[in-house]
Amino acid sequence: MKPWLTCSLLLLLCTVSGVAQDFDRYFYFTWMPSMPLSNTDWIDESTGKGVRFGYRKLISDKFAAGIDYTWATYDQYYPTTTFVDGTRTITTDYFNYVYSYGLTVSGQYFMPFSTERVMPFVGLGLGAQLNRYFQYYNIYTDDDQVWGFLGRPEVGVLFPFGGKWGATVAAHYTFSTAKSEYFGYDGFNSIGFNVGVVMMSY
Amino acid sequence: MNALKVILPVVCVVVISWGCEPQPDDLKLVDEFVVFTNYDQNADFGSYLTYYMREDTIGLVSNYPGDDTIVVGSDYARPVVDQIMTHLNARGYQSVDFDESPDLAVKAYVLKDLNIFQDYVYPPGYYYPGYGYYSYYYYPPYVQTYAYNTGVLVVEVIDLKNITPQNQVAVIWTAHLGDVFSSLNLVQQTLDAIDQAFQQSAYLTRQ
Repeated sequence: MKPWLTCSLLLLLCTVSGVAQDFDRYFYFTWMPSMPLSNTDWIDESTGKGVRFGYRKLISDKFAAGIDYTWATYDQYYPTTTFVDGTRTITTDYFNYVYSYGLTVSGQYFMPFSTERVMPFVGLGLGAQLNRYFQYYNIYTDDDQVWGFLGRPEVGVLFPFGGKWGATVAAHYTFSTAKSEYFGYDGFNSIGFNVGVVMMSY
Repeated sequence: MNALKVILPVVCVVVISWGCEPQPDDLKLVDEFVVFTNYDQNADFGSYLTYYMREDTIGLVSNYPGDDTIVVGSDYARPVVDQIMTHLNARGYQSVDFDESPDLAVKAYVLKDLNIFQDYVYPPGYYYPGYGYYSYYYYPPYVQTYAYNTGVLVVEVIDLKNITPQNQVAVIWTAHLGDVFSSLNLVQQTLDAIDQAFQQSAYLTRQ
């Protein structure tokens, strides 16, 4: 990690108020880099083009529930390739894109060893995913749009700063049945990471 | 806190606008043509010897009435035709005049697809009736027209040796090269695409 970034994070953690306040819900917005795990012959490059919005309401000291909205764009460039299909042959370079959107109902369980400032959690989100598969070549485009079931277990840590703000880091695994028969894409699984800000509400 | 309430949505909007469905680099997309070829699997390409092709002319066929024309000249038609004939000659075929009863006819033409869109544009100060607001000043909307062309260069090899009694001929090889209206270097990309079309059609030979 770059020194300036380390110093900034430490400074931020050191300057928060010393007294924790109880919050009963929070919103968060995170950057969500991800890496595909399935159908990697179509796209196997990681992406930093992803974000996540979430809302949680504390049900008890240990449980929170809410919703998450995510989107990410995966893309990969393929240099000029020749494809033969019977008597037909096509040569082109091309881009594969997956625009992925997810909406889940999610729950979090805060671990018993949580403190007021550091709250590790495990969570699970269940919902739906919309994947828009695109193949771009020259001015032409082939695309397919599919919905599927989405399951997303995760582990992470919530850092309440003691005021209105906090931070969160998390890692998740995404399982989705949003497969594209047109592109021979059977389901979409990935891992992702979240780093972002949390806004507490009291 | 009020400032943060403003900053956070702004940051979100910026990130959304950046991250939501980014597109590939246009220049990277159009710096090479797509080259598509197809052939008649019943054709015996070794059975033909001669072909006829007009030497400095290609056609332009459009979906826009009255737009069909002939492309003549040294800028595009001549190098395109020369490149096709060079490859055919290298594959063992011989160019002859049409009155010498060629075995094959070779046609090249640009297939143009003209798309036109019209938008109604409402100037500042004009509010759509029905939304509860009416401007003090009335500016009528104006129509803005957008048009874009797409097009492919089509090369066809037609069998004149086996004309049916009903005077029907078969296209035994076809190549589609495009897009010719979005290229960075039209002539060079076309010539490269013609090279690729023949390279991926090894069966198109007398040997």
